[in-house]
Amino acid sequence: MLQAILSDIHSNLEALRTCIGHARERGATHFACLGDCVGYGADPVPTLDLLLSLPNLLVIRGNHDEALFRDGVIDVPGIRETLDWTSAQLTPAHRRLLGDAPYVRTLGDATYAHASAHNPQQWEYLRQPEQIKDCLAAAGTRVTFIGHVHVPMVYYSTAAGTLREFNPEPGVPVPLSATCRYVINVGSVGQPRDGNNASGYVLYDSDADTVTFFRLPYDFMSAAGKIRAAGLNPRFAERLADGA
Amino acid sequence: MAASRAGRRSKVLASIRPGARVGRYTVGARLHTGGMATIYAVGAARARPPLVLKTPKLGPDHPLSSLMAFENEMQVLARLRGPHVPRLMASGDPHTRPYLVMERIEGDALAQAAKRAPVEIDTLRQLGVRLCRAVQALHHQNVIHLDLNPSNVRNRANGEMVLIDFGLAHHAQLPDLHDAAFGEEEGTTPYISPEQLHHVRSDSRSDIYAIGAMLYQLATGQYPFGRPNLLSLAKRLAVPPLPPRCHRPDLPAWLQEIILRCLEIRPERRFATAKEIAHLLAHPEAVHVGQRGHRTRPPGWWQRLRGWQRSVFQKFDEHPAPRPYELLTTSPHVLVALDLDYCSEALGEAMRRAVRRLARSEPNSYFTCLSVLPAQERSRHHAATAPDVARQVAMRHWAQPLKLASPRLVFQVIPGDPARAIVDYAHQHQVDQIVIGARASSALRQHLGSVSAAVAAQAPCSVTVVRTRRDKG
Repeated sequence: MLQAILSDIHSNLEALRTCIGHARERGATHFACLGDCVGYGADPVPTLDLLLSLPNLLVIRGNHDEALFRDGVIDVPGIRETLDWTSAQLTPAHRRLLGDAPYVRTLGDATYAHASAHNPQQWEYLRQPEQIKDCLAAAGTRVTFIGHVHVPMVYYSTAAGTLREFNPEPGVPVPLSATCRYVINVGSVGQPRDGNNASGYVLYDSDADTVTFFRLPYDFMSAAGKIRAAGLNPRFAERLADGA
Repeated sequence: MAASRAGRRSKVLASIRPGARVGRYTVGARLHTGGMATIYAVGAARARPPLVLKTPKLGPDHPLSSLMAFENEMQVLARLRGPHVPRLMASGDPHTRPYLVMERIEGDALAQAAKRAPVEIDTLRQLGVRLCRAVQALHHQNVIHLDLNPSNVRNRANGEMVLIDFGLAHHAQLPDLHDAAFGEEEGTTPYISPEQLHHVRSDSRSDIYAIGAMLYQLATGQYPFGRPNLLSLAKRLAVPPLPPRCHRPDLPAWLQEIILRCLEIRPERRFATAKEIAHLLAHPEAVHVGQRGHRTRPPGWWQRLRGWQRSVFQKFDEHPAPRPYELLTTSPHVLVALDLDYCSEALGEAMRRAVRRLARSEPNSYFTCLSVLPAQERSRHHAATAPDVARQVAMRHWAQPLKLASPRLVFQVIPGDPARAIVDYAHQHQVDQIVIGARASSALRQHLGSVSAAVAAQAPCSVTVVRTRRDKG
């Protein structure tokens, strides 16, 4: 199975199109979206339509998605207004897609979550060793894919139990050892925040047992222009240029 | 589940014995049994190329780290290319059928030389240059060997060195599988670097240290820190080794300078790249011999005391080491082609500006000022060496205002046709960039041909052609 794993699209249609086109060219047959399909960006409807058209799609719930249906998840000014603006445009099919999405899902050797497999509704940002260990323990599988932090990273625990992190090189397949366990942050499609404004996603090849991180340049100028034109917070547009 | 896996593995391994078939290969005689793996010959004696099969030692008597080393070697070897590593022909799943079939490299010139050391200086230079080329090729592919020692350096019939045994190696683009928690040795005692003792596995200058230890051994017949034991490990964190000239007083100072710079305690004080060592071994006259090269006595008691004191607080992992390829690209070898006979004052100044910019933007860069002496010019003079000396003097005079530290700047005069000699030199020493001036006068260019145009067209690297401003009218 060759699965494209996308996360944190945030209604950025230009970035999503670029990643999906790239994954299809490489023969991706399965797709997973690790949540936060909406928020920040100005294209929620075409973004969700494009997601709905993907074959073998697994969608996980993110905090921005949940905030569409529940109060008190995100109260940050600016983001709240964007979500209300988004919510007004969604069709029943869109609402079903996001409303039915689980917090955590396990398929074969891999677990998929937005923030963590441990207490997923806490929406914590996984960076500390203790958090990674909790996530590994809760997942039970060898590999866990997450998003939420918007920074691509591989955390793994060796056979001797030592926890390490590895900064992946774009385009270089990372072999997964049978003796290690992994938490893989796939980065963000629509709001990268590691100082590189290129869109990010991961291809998981379960036959070759590798994951490959990609960083793709996309037309962020159009995406930013739409945010400004829609009257959303201009800061959301600015950060697309510098990836911060 | 772990038990059944181990059981399966030991059954598979039991089936790998002389006469058995593994994939499309027949296992031959056992060649070698090491601490972590067993090596067998493969197939008929006339198989081309000759092959070997390697399997890890597994089972209750053997540590899990031997499986880890095996998986590591498989991952690294599968990603390496070129003549300086054995070709990997086939491999089995590390957890169900662990084996590697690879090219068998027969030559052991370096190990033989290490056994009969001390060796002739010319032999040492030849072996050293070849070893450095192999290590350079490895670092160029982002891999650090971390267990370089004479038995892991083999050679092909044409003398090209081949590095083997990648069980401890580190690939900077892959998650590191090694874990100090297994409690295994992290290298081979006489050659292991100080930072490896601190569990740092990401610095390519650890291999530079091992090169230094091997050169020391070839030059003196001794290990840098004496017999391999715990004290010898502790010593390398605190004090420099005994100067090689204590063992061999006739050893040239330039060679001791190279060896002791490789064996510096701090990685940043060693050579950044193996090709820089190869360049200096090939051109000893270019080595700037400093205090290191002239030492003839062991470090004094005060230096030893300071060293031991410092070693207690020493850290090697404060800043992550740059990836090997990154270190290569930020430590460029720049060739400055100088033809001062036809160089105006303005062009000379423009070239200095170009060199100064490079020196400042890349603090690890190093420069070779090269002057090519055409054959007809040599014969024009009565005294055979005079033109060479005149060129050396002129180049040094040109370079003086640059105020570059001596080890960063060397001067060379070589005979030949200018464009070809410059391009050949760049090939031979893997030069990263050439800075060359364009002759201003078109009459001269017509008469002599444009050397800079020929170099720009044929060079294996970037070429900066420096020109003084020429405005129309």
